[in-house]
Amino acid sequence: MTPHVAVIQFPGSNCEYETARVLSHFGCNPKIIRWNEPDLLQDANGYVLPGGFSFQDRVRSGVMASHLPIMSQLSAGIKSGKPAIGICNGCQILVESGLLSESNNDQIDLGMAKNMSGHTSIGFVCDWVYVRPVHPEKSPLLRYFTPHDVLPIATSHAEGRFVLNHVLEDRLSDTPHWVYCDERGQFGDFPITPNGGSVAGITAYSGRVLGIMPHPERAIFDWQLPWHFKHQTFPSSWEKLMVAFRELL
Amino acid sequence: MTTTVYIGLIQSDLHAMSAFEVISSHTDQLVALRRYRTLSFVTNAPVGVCQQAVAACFEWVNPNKSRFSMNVGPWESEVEKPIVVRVQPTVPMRVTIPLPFQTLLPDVDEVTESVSWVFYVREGVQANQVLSDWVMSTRRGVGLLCNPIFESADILVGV
Repeated sequence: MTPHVAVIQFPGSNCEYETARVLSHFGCNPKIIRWNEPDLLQDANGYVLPGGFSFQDRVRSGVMASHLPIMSQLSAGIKSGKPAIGICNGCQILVESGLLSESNNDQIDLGMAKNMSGHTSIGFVCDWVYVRPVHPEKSPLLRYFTPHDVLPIATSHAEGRFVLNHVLEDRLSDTPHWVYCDERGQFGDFPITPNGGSVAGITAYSGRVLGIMPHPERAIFDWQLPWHFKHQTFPSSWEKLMVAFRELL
Repeated sequence: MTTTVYIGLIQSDLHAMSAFEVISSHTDQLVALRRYRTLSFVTNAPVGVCQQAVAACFEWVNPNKSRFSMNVGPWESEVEKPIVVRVQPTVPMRVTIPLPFQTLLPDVDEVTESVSWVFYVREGVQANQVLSDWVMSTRRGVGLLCNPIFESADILVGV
């Protein structure tokens, strides 16, 4: 039986259909479930929180959605071992709900701050960037990648700078995550890093949950890549993420 | 001298409405909530010149075209005693200085941005309580106005 993936649609999500299309392509059975249908999450084998602007990004991106009742069911499912991917606004919702920092006792230990270059606000950034994984071998979701993989990806956000407290900061070096880089895998300032922080995505719950700010679902097929990437050959592809996700369901 | 400009948005400020809804689900002590975009800059220019500069780029600072003032307020009525809390990034967030500022206030080399929340509360509610329970709380349930990981909050006006 084809595993069922819940693509959770919040008020203001705008990537749910393209995300579902990618999931279908890789053998999942996506079902778009609204934020006010929490009971429908019970049957899901995994979850994807798509990008968008839930609740118009009021107060802080993702914070309003993180207060919704459906987050309790999502949290229970993730803690029972089901895989989850949060993309862009979905990542911000995972952060605000504490699911990306495995936060116990409701503490706040991770935040998504506004894009900055130096100390200057740079607002919304929509561009193609490169990312590479760190410790992919430690995450079942990233296990098909290697540390040398450099992948192009579309980024599109205004509040995407991961800010970690000292505990998470210390833990990050051992945590599978994604970092921004140039086409050779080297770090750099803006625009190589589009938001003032090097981290593009973080995993949690033994690497079964991924929150990533850029959009893998927009860079998975060759026809999605812009013309200036056409002459390049990439040794890796976002297909690896979807294949691993499918296997975890 | 640091000059601060408070920019009020239109009545239906959706950020304030949603924040009010969330806080009100935890307490009945909050009567109303307003939000002001707050710009601060250091200048030796007189207040009148600062007002001119702000007025000249009012459209830039506030596309919703509501109001701006050099003081937080004015309040809805004389009897109101709101509590005002400013939330700002721990690392000061500079915004691009628009042309009218550069022309009228040439000594200004930096404008920083924050958000001021104006709480209209029931009698007896203390500013410290507002700050700790509704703004700076480290619990995920209510403290949505300030994420202490990258923001700080301080009381500007208290009862």
